[in-house]
Amino acid sequence: MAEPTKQGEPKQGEPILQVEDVWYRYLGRFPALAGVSLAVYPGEFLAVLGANGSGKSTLLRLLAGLIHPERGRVRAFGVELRPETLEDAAFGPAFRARVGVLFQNPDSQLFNATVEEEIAFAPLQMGLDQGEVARRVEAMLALLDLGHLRDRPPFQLSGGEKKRVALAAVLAQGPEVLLLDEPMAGLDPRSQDHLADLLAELHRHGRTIVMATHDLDAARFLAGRVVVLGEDHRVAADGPPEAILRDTALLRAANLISARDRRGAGARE
Amino acid sequence: MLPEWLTRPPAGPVPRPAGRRVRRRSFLAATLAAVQAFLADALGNGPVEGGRDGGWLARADPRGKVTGVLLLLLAAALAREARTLLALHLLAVALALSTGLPVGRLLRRVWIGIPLLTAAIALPATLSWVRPGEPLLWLWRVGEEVRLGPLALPGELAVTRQGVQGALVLVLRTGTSLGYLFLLTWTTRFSGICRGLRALGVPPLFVAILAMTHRYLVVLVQLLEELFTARRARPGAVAGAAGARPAQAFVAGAIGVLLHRSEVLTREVHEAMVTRGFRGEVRLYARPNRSRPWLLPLLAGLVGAAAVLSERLPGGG
Ligand SMILES: Nc1ncnc2c1ncn2[C@@H]1O[C@H](COP(=O)(O)OP(=O)(O)O)[C@@H](O)[C@H]1O
Ligand SMILES: [Mg+2]
Repeated sequence: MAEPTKQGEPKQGEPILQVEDVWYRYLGRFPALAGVSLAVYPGEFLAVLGANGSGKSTLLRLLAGLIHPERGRVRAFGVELRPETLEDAAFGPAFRARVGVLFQNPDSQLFNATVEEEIAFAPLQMGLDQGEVARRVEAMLALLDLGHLRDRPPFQLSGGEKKRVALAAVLAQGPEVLLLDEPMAGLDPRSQDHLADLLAELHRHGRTIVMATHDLDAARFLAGRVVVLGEDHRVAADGPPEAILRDTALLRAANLISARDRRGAGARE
Repeated sequence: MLPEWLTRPPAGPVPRPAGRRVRRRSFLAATLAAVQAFLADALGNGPVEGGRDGGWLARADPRGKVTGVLLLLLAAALAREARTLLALHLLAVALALSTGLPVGRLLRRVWIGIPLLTAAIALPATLSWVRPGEPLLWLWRVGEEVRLGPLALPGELAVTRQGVQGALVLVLRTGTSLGYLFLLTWTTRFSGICRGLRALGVPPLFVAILAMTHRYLVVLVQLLEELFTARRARPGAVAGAAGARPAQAFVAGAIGVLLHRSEVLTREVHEAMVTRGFRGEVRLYARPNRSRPWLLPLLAGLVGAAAVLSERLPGGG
C-alpha cells in the first residue's frame, strides 16, 4: 500500500458534489438508496464503504448523472443533475469532461477495438486535435504500463489489465473529479500498490476522489473521510477514517468485518 | 448443516478409461459450436499466425487494403466465367501464402459451409426444367408429361451444361469473395477496416453502427463460448445422457441468458460511453498514415479489370 498521504481536508466552500435525501429503487421495487444525504468538497478523498448490495454503485451512478433519484436531489458544481441540465450544450459537455467514472465491471467500460483507441476515445469526444490526443494516449500508456498492449483488443485482456486500461481511458480526459467503483478489486498486490500510489498522487494534485469499496485497508490508507452505507441503504456513519475504522460495532453492523474478527479492524493498525 | 451427499466418503476409485467413446454432441450443439467458431474467425477474434502483425499484408495501410479488396470483390461479382473466378481465387491463395497466413485453414474456412449451402440452393437451377440447354445427364425421358394426380411432371428432365455452369459460377463467386474477405479480416484489425470505409466516404454514423455491431457480435460469441464451457464443465453433459431434447432446452435457455446479458451490457456500455463524453457523434483516432496507401488498390484494380475484361474481349475467355 501507499504511504499515508492524507492531508487536512479542505472542507470549506461550496460542495463540488451534493446528494440531498435521495431515494432510489430499481424497477420501482428493489431498494438501493433510502434517504441518503452527502456532500463532497473540492479536493476531498472520500471512501464510500458498504457491504455488497448496500448501494455504493447506485450512489456513484447518481453522482455521474446516469440515473436520477425518485426523490431528493443530486447537484454537481452547484447545478442540479437532471436530464435537461445534462443535455445542456454548455453544462453537459463540461460536466462530462470534468467527471471521470471508473465502473465496477471493466468489461462494459471497454468498447473500442484496441487499447490505444480506448484511451483516445474521451479526448477525441472532447474535440482535442489529433496531436494532443496522440500525446495523451502515449502519456497514459506509459503511466499505466500498457505500452506492450497498445494494439490488443481490450476485451481479450486479463481482469487486472482491463482495469488498468479502463483507468487510463478515464484519466485521459483529465477529470477533476474521479468516481471510482471498487478500483482495487481483482488487482494483484503490486498493481494495487501502484494504483494506490497513483490515486494518492492525483489527490495531492487537487483531484476530488470518491471511491466505493469494501476494502477497509484501501479506505484507511487513502481516504481523508469515510462514509459507511448500511445494509438498510442509508448512511450509517460519516467522518474521519481513524474514528470510523476503529468502531468495530459499527463495521460489524454494516457487514464490513467478519463477526469472527474479535479484535476489530482498528486493532490491526 | 451440509446435506448427506456432500459428507459421505468417496465412492471407491475413479474408473480407468474403458476405450469406449461417449456419444457425440448433438447436431444442434455441434452446429452452434461451428457457427461460433466461424464467427470468431471471421470477426478477427482468434489470433491468426502471421495475420495481424506478421506479413506484409498485415503491415499495409488498411485504407489501401479495404479499397483493394472491394475492387477485387467487384471483379468477382462481374466475372461470368468459372476460370476467371478460379484465377481470382488462386490470386487470393497466393497472397495468403506470400504474407504467411495459414492457407489450409483459409481454404477450410472458405470452402466448408457457405459455398456448400450455395451449391444446395443452386442445385435446382442445374435442371433443364429451370434452365433449358444442352443435356449433360438425363434424369428421365418419357417423352410426354407425366400426371400424378394434380401434379404434372415434365416429360423430360436433365441436368444441363448451362445449368451446371451457372451453379458452378455462383459457388465459385461465393468462395472467391469469402476468400478475399478472410484475407482482409485476418490481416486487418476491425478499426482499420472502419477507417478504410471512412476513407472511401462511407458516412461516419454507418461506420459507427458497423463498429458497434462488430463489438456486440464479438461479445455474443464470447458469451456463447462461455455458456458452452460452463455446460461442459457440469456432469451429465459428458455422461452421454443428454440427447437432442435436453440440448434444445439448453440452447433455448442459453439464448435467453444471452439476450438478457447483452441487454445489460448494452446499457452499461452506453453509460460508459456517455461518461466519457459521447454525444452521438463518432470521432475516430487516426494514427500517423503509412506511405503509398494507393498502391494496393491500384494493383487490385488493374488485376480486377484485367480479369473482367479478358472475358469480354474478342479472343479472350
Ligand atoms: N439493475 C438492477 N436491477 C435490480 N436491482 C438492482 C440492479 N442493480 C442493483 N440492484 C439492487 O440494488 C441494490 C444496490 O446495488 P448496488 O448499488 O449495485 O450495490 P453495491 O455496489 O454496494 O454492491 C442491491 O440490492 C441490488 O440487488
Ligand atoms: Mg457495486
